[in-house]
Amino acid sequence: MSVLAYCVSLVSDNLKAPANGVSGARVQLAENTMLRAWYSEVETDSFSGTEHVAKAALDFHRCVSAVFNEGTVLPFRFPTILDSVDDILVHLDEKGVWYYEVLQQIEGLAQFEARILTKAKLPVEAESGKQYLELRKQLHKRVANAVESLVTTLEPVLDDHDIRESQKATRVYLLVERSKVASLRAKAAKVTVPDGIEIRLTGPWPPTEFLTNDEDEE
Amino acid sequence: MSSSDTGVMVLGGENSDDISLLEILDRVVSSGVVIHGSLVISLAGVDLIYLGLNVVLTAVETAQQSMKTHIHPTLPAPAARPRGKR
Repeated sequence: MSVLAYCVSLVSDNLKAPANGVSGARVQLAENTMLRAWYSEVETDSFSGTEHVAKAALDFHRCVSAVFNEGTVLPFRFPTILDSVDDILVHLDEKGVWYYEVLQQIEGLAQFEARILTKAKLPVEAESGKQYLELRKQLHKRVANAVESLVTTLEPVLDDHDIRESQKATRVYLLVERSKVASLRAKAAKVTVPDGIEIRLTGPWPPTEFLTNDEDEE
Repeated sequence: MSSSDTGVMVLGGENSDDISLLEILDRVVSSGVVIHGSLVISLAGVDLIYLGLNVVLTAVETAQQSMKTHIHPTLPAPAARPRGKR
């Protein structure tokens, strides 16, 4: 039977996980002297079928969130499936120093993610190429204004932030102390968003976008 | 959810049910630690990580179907393709 890995924390934090995880499977511990990981034994058919995949992802999310509510964790990317618990233990031994340092760096911190979307669409048939480019420029400017407004408003409670753009949306990752989460939410709700722009702020999540790289992987 | 017509939609927290399934899926499959040596499969621009190839083939098909028909009907449907072992 394969194992699905959920997340890692420091043993010294003595965090607890829910009794059951994906598909109701028992959540189990794998530990070395420094690190504690959680996993479940899973049947491969837990990940076959449309409904099963989405439900498994939700179960995974709930399990990791429950541990994160207790303290500092690093989730594995879903679905990380290994042949046995020995694979998790070998991994923790190999990367122990990196996990230890990163978990200490993100101690007491949480991440929010703001996704900035444009509701306005560019015309399929613009009068001219010049007009199309002008409209696109205006749209980009509105997005940039929204990002600036958000970051400026939240800056007093932020530890860090990172702006990343993709074709579909601009994302702003926000790093905040857990004690300032309520303050961040309150400030965010007061940010004025330009017309035609939508900002969806989700969190708190484990701060996975602010990890230092593992030098061995570079 | 707390929001206004012109404000930020603040989701999650005590009422985490207001975060959509798509946002949760996007989050769990695109964030987190990747174990070195895992097989990486790209699906609709999202990397899925598996070690068991027999699991991959089933899961990618079903996840792709799920994303096309239930979660995000406008997503393109690229063929699942292994990007190679790391």
